[in-house]
Amino acid sequence: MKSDHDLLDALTQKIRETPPRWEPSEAWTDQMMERIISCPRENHPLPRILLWLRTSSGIAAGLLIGMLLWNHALEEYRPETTPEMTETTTGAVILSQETLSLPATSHPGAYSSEGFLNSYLNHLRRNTQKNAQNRQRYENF
Amino acid sequence: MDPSRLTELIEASRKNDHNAFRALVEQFQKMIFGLCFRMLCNEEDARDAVQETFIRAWMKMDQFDIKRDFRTWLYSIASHLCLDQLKSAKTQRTMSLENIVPEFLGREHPEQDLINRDLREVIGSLTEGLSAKQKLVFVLRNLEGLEVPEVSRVTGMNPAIIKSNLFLARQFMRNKLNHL
Repeated sequence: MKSDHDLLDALTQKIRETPPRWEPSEAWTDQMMERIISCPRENHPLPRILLWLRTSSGIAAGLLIGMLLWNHALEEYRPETTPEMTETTTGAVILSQETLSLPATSHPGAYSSEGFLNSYLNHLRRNTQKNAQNRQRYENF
Repeated sequence: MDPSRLTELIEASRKNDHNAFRALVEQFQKMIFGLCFRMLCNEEDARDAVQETFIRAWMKMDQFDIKRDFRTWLYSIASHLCLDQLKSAKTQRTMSLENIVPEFLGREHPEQDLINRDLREVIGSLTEGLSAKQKLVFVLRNLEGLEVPEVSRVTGMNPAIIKSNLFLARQFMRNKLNHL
């Protein structure tokens, strides 16, 4: 008998070259088609949407929708109160620790995004500093 | 089949054209039978799996991405069906490779009715003891002749996992043949 390596290769080769025999009759195909036709088709819109989202235009549209939703969320949860400012002896204006905390919201998850919170606080700090500088410039003038 | 004709038939089938789908069935049913027979080692189970494959294909025709290879998609449906069946059926084989292999290799032009019996016995005995996944990967790669990326598309398995399963399957079968 051949070595086990050759034997496995010879066997797989022989099996590959010997396709199983089956000649489906017309009646068999008819019967299968009957069964196939009687089955309801899945016409849910979701798979179509998923297929469309895989295309480049779908990805672009998805990103656009995402950005709009994100902007909407920012607008909705932006606090309306203005922080209180305290002027130091050097003229620098700082925000009190208390005013730095954002107002309470009925949505517990509204400020869950740490990135948004930090960027919003930085924005407040920058604005306050700029206002203080402008006021000082105005007073000096 | 001519690719443009195939696309035409697929598009028509999606629009509920039964004749177009029948043409697809007639084109691919033997190929699917080949895979199912080699996986299940039973003619009746293989025919049932062919029928189930085309029923599922018909039902999910809307989800088929026309840019994909239709043959690969059918293979994928059939493979998953066979995997499920292999996992649920726990059949015990008691055939001995010792007698089957020399007889099978020695046949130059086997008679038609002996082909399926020989194949059933040889594949069944050779792959007995492999896991369902190992068997699927071996059948697709070594018996159906698919390349590894295509096997990956059919099974949804990572190419590295396919290669390791294939290695383990071949090692297991070599050990078996070593005892002959």
